[in-house]
Amino acid sequence: MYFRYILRRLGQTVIVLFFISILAFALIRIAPGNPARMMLPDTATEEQVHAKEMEMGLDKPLYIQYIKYIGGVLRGDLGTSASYQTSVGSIIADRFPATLLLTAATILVSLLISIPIGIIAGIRQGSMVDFLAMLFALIGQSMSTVWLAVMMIYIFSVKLNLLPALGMGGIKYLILPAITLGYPLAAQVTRMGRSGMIDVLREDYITATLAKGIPESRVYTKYAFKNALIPIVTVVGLQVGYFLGGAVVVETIFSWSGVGQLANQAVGNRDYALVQSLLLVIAAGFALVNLIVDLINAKIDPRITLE
Amino acid sequence: MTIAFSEGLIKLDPHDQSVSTGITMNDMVFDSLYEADHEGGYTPRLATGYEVSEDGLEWTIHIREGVTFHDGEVLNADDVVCTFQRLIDTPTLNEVISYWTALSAVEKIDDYTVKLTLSEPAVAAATMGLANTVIIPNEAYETQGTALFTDQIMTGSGPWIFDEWVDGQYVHFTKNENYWNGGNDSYFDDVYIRFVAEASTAISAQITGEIDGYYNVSGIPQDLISLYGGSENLCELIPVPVSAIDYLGFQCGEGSAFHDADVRRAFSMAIDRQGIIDGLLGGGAICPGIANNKTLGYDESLNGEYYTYDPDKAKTLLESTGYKGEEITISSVSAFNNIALAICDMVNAIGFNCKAEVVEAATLADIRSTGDYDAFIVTAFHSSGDLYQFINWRVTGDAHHSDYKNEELNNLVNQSNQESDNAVRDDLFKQANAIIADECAPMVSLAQLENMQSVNYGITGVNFLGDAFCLLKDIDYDPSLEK
Repeated sequence: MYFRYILRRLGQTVIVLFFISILAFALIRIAPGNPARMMLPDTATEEQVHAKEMEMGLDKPLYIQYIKYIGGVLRGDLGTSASYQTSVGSIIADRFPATLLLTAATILVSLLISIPIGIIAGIRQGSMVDFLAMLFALIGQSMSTVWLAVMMIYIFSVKLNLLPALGMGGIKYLILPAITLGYPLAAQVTRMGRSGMIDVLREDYITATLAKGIPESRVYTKYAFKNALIPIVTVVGLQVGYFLGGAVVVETIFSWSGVGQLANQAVGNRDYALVQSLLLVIAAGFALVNLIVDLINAKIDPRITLE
Repeated sequence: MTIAFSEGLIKLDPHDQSVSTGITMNDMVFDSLYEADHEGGYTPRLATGYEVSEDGLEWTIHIREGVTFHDGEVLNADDVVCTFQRLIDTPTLNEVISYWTALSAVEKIDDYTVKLTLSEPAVAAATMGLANTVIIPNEAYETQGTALFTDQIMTGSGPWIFDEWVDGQYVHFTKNENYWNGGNDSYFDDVYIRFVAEASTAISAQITGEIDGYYNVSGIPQDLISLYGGSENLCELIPVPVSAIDYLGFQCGEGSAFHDADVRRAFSMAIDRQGIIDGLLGGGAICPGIANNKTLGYDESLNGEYYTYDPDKAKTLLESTGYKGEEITISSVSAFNNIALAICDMVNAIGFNCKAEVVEAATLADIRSTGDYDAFIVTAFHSSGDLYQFINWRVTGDAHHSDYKNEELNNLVNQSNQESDNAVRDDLFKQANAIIADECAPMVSLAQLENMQSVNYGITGVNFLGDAFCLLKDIDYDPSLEK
């Protein structure tokens, strides 16, 4: 059944991606701005702009441009970037690992912080620990990422000289961007973990389990937390999909060359082929992550069926 | 040695560069035939000299002997022919559009002499082109084609050897100890240009020692200079007066409010430029017209009547025109919004009905290409310190469809493009600039910019230029300059 379900979902994803390819193709063309003009010095004449349009295939009717694009996609060719003048596939392939790495680090950081805090706050509802946990969550959800990023650099790079302010390399380069990106998510997960635990701990089966003499720690981790986990997995999954689309602000501030920075630049340059393909790849990533989330949730809670 | 640049590379093709980092890379890895001082003057680099035919159409260029590329190939006329033939064959390259639209043929005369033929006299463009077009190796280009650039081979003859470009991160160069011009005896074996879009991050990284200098193409933002506090003994802040100007372009066509020269003059006189320079730009100078003290055509004695803030006079002049309070919109990208809003306040105080509109760069390019605007604000650079490009395309060529026409101005600009004597060209540009300043058309400058840049004490040869580029080919280290 699993296999059939996955196949069906993948089939649905292909249909979604087809419509996204049309949307991406249309949206970037609706935006004002001529990509040929953006590629040339602003002193270029109309004739030179027209020559560039022909070189880029923009003089062809829109449906021809789309058929050419989608035909290429089906053959595994995402086209050529007008600004980079190289294959879009290779540009995205160069940038995507950086985004994947930052996403993984962000999720890891946020879950390592938020899950224990959320569980403890839920178990000790109304205690000082709970108050501090909610304060942590409130600040995290209210704080601007830009401000946090700048403060992280100021404190950990400039003042303490502990971590690099920019660039990519070993783990030390990951810490500041991952914490900056992960803190708001950690705040959200802490709140959800806490409320999930509070709800579950009120259930009769938990009381019954405790009455049987099963140790509290086991009840909390094995029985209660497992059920509180379902909404967390869903939220984290959505965030992973979002992070895979790149985090423009954080990537720009920390000079992290992922797809967010690339997409921002591509839109500014009206690099049609790059924008279209980035949207397609990001959407595919999002759909895949959603599928994985559904499978995990079904595994956690047998009441969830895959039909 | 790492210098942060605010702009990243997007491609390596040395003949298709549109960002300042590309120009820096070209100057390090390759050589051009001439070298610009970026204030209107030129000295030979790979060339030893040239002659121009009387009609200005044939340029015979003599090439230096004893130059080799990084791969050992000897540089001679074949390489120069290969370079210029590539430009003729690929008319959409940035290099062609900027300098070589009139180039029609290139011919080898002997091993160290080539002849360029132009379809029309274009002295200014060709002179600038000789200093900007870098020479690529014939044999490598014939074998590799554009893979010479796309595959990061990048064989040049310059003082630094290209090593690697990591998109969005850095470009790395190593020292070319066998450089034809006396070797390269820089203290540094490796130079990295790191791309850092966010100014506060670059400053923080310089303070912590991650980078050794910071070049921001628009100057380090004034409101962030205070971040250098406490690092005065490490980081030197360098104010660089540049030939770049912020200017206000007018739609002068029939039916537009700015069709009347007195409306433009009143608008210009109502602008408190010094207030904008002090309060918003953090440095700069008022320069009537478009020329300034870093360009040809600058005239200290030029009458700057319409560039002097005088709201009473502006109001009287405006009242004498037929302006009836039609709405005027100043379009600009977000970086100029504060200036646009300040101007709106100033001109509305004397009777204009002006508002500011923020648009995306691509949208601004679009509306300027159709003339669908009232006024716009942009920064423009005078490439190589020569007014020709700016004035030829933006003024007489009317690339932005201002609909301003002035035959006298056209004639002066055409003459400047046929004249090779810089003193004569300087005089022609002075006359042209005086017309622009008096007519306040099709633009009025707001300020000649002064960009703040920074490099650590002890590092020498970081060349922040008058036309707002930054060259690194002479980068070196002198410990006696450290604080």
